[in-house]
Amino acid sequence: MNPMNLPADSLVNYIFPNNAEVAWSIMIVIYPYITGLVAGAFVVSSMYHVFKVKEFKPIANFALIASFCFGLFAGLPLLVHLGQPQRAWEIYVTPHTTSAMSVFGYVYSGYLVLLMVEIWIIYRKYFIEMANKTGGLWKLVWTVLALGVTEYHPESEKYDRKFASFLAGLGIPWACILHGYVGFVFGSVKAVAWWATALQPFIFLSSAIVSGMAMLFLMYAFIMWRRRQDYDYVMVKKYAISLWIAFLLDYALEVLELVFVSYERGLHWALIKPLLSGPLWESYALGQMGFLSIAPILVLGVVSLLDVRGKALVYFTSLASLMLVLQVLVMRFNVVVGGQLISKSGRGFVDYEFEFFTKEGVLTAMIIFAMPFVAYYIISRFLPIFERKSLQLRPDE
Amino acid sequence: MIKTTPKSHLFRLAGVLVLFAVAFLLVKSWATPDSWNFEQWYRGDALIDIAAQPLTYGGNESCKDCHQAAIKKLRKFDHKALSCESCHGPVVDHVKGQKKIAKAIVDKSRWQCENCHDERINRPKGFPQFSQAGEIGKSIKKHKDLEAETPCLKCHDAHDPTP
Repeated sequence: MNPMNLPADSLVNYIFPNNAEVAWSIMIVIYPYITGLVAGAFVVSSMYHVFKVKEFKPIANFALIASFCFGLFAGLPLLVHLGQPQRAWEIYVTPHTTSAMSVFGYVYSGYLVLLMVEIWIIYRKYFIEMANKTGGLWKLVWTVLALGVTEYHPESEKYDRKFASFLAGLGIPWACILHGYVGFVFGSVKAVAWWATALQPFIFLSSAIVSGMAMLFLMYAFIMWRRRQDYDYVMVKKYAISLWIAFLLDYALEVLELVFVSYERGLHWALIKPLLSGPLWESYALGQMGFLSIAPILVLGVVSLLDVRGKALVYFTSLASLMLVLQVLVMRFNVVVGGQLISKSGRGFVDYEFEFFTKEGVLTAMIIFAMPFVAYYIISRFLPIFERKSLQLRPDE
Repeated sequence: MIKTTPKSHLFRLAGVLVLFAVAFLLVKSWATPDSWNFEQWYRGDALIDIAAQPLTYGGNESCKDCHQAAIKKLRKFDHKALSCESCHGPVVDHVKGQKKIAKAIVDKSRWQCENCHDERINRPKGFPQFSQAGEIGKSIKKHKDLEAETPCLKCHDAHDPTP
């Protein structure tokens, strides 16, 4: 029976609607964050594989493997957030275009398959080498990985290279869809004033590229330092310039979003202005849009425009990367949690408190976030990610 | 040993991918419920399953046959739209068939009132609200002297809460 047709004196079982809690927890903050790292790292790898930026050759495979490692765990925060995670796979069984989330399942899995195939085609030669070098169980593992083709034909290199370029080319729009889509999920929630903007997919995508590039650089700087290997300063310089441009674009979009809502002076602004000047003042105004944006723009600007070289180049770029990694993390927090702080009644703000030891607390987030790095470490034990020899490519040599 | 060509690995990769795709489609079609309604996008049998679930709460409709007088009286009060079973427990514990099997409970605990009356930003300004941090009486002055644990029902009638 339609409740609207009930006579006026009918009995209803009324209970007051509550929105006392921020239902999308810190898990939903790190979900787009990790997804962003996948997309960002992939873009770096494609710079070499598709756009033939030769300076990025030494890190192209590293970027690809890192992207894959992040990809493995991008969906995990969502599973932790769900009350019935065993039902998550049902989005694959009965997908529908009216559910953005169900489409994500396919986009995300398809992307992981693409990454796996690309890594496979690039490392196939190594699999064959190992299958012929090892014996016993390991030989079997490497042979299976090489799909039983244990002979490397010199002519196949051409096909492999073409196929890898094709996959990398296909991967760029796919990475954009993957992360632009995450922005779409938020941007299409019209009930939350702070999310509902058509710019959201672009902001998510550009910040994804920034965070992926910045995280990759921190990993690169750390790994080279651990291996006592020389930094590839030519690459670092180009990387810093690319990161600077990517972030300028991202920051422009973020400012644009703010300017739009502010200039329109609509209903949304009436809710967003007190949000940004109230509960989000520190994390948004001072953090995301203030220090964590302006400082890296300046540092990377100095690195890009002036003749900074040698160790200083690495130190400055690492510092800027660290700030950018934090900027995007804070941005995800400001979007996900910040948007939910606005009461659905529009009468004010609800409170958010950080939890540490709960199921969806900060500790869980830290454990999930550490997993891609552990996966990377394990993979790096088996695959040669960086060239073994020391790279001596100083600009002044 | 099978002789391989420069393209063998690509064919094998295609084979593996096709195999996975077919396996996925098979699992998908197997896992899609038989009664799945592709027009309306829900599992048709879900309605039957839900209807077959044992009744716990009957809603206020289930009270009115026996408690007509109480319900008629209740209609004049502010709490007329509330669910009886919220405080009196589910109907299944009280009635079986058409027979009363046990006395309905009367839950006088404070949280029952707080479900609607603790202070929340999303509640209308004129709605009586009391904050949880022991600041009873923030909205209504005469509650100032009360302690945080004082049951509301000490003074108020749950059916007719008018002060």
